[in-house]
Amino acid sequence: MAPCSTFTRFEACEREFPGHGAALSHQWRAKQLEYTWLRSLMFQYQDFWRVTDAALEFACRAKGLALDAKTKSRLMNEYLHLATFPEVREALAALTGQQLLILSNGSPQMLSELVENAGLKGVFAHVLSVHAAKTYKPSPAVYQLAATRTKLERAAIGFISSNFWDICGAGAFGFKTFWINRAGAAPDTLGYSPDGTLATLTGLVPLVRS
Amino acid sequence: MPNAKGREAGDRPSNLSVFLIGFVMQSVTQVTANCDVLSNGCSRRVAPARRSRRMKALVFDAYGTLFDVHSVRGL
Repeated sequence: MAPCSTFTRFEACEREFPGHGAALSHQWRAKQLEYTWLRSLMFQYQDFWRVTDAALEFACRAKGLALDAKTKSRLMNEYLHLATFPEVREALAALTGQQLLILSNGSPQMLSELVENAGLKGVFAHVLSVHAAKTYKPSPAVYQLAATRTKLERAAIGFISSNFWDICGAGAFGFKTFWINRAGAAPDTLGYSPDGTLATLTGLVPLVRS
Repeated sequence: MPNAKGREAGDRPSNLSVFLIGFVMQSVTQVTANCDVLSNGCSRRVAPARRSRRMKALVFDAYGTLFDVHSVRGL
């Protein structure tokens, strides 16, 4: 297994722009998601690497931070070396025997490198990217990718996400949904309740085994 | 003495009764299972998780779910 990066994207932002790390990291992420939704609505798909790049440019510009090519390259590279949450490896190991997949906004190349760099290669039967649908979550066309690949009824698929908007999309599509609410966030008022809400991925294990 | 439906007291419970009792017991079991242990050892009540026996595949989101995009380490 390849060792997981000891740095986080937050640290990288702080290293490049001392005193701005947290704010820049959060604005980068927020704008990245916003761009995926806007591009989906406008039918102007660009892959997630380009969207992430554009979001970083905006976040720096909005904060008056100069972003040269080398700094940008270093920060973008962090997206290929993100750390897993502490319980992820153990929880995934306990779910061995289940068919495990990833369904992500990430581009195929980003996901391939991220999974490999995290030492999770071989854990998942399939790593699916929205790129095949040329749109982003929460479009039903994205969740259909998992249903098509597994050839399963929608209700036979459990979908796990920390993003409540993603949970709403998957639930509307017909998946069983499990919201990982590590931060104790309030659920969005979109008229949907997940099948389960868990503090960490560890809580998923007994549910699947029952 | 026969009741309005012609059953004697002490008759075996109807299928409906058996179903209702089973349903209530299942609900109680689910409610007691709906706690999750936090990393600090405390437990908290979480939203009900419906049984997942029929799940044949688990699909994970990546960013923010498996991979941490915001955590602060060493600062």
